[in-house]
Amino acid sequence: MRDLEAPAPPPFRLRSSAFGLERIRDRRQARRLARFFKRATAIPPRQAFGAFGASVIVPPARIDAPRFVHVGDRVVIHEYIWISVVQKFDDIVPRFVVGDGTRIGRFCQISGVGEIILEEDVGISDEVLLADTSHHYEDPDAPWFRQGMIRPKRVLIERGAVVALGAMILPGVTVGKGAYVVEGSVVGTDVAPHTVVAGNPARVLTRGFAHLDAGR
Amino acid sequence: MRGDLISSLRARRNARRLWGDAGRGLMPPPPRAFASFGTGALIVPPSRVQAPECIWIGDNTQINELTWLCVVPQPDRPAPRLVIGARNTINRFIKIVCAGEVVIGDECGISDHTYIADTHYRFDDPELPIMAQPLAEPRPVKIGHRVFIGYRTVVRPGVTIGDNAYIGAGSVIDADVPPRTVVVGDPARAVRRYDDARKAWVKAEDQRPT
Repeated sequence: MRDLEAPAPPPFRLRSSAFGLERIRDRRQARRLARFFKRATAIPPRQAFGAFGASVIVPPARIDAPRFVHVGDRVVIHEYIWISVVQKFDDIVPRFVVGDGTRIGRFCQISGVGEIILEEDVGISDEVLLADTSHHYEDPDAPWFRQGMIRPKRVLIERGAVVALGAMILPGVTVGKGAYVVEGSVVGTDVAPHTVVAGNPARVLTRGFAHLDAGR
Repeated sequence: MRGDLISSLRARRNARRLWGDAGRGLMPPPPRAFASFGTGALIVPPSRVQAPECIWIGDNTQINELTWLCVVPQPDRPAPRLVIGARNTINRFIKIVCAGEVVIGDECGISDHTYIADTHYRFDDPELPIMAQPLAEPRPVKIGHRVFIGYRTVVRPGVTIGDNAYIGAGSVIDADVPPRTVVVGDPARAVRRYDDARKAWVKAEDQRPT
């Protein structure tokens, strides 16, 4: 690892006076930063979305391209979500579909360039990652932002499934009807309906409680 | 009317005094408070930055919201150093705990919820609460250039991550990662490495990175 040596610690500096020019400048800069954050995390108007039913997104939220986001009815998306669903391939129009009655918790990240589909009544907890792509690393000497995205594989979360806190759903995964993804699992393969998966990588804990689904 | 205004202003001032930084929306400190703050660098509020005089930030580095740069100077140890290189993107909800030395290279990408620490609480005394016990001797964490760190990764004390490494989502890095390696899992193991002779990524032997 080269040229990572840090400079020596700084010399002691006298604090400027409470009413000094610097303080005024600091305050102005702080206001500018706050305005930047507020503008960057405002919810776009509902006309900007691909579809938007009787639902609510709690600010602050980052929604990069709302025209690719389709939100149904009775959806609640809690604060600090980042819906980074953007077009990166000419032949793929991305789609992030949130079915009716779905709830998405706080601090989640949805990063996609293809299809990410949540069916009806899905529960997504806090800090969950749903990704249908990742950054390329083909060139071993280029940083991540100089390389494109990997071609997306569809992520589908079927009706009534729950993804618990901090779980990560990787590209190409289908989480079956009524399945439960345990907290903090990393799911790289399909999850059969009515199973409980846990761990990194996720493994099946319990399967077959379809009788619970009879009422649906 | 006027009394209302005055009392509301007073309430706001009291709230600010009570909550400190939180009352100002967790504003990061101004650039001049840092040991060095590059041109074009940005810390998006709300963010929590402790001891900015021990933090070096390179040019055009962006640190997104709700990051906690938890730099803890201690009286019996040399001043900590948190060095973040140029053109990094450090995403949201990151916590970097630095009591000794944490160095992040240039052009890295660090995803949400990553936790980087060079120390931890000691737990020698079973009677005391762990939070009341001293911090362990910090072991420096070094992250090379052009590293990509996936979502919700944990980087443990004393780890060196080589240049151009790629770390998958949900990994727990407990051992050094050689350059040009893809690692995933808990504990992290190498799955692919770049073969210079064949100029291609090849499957790594199934072993933990050393």
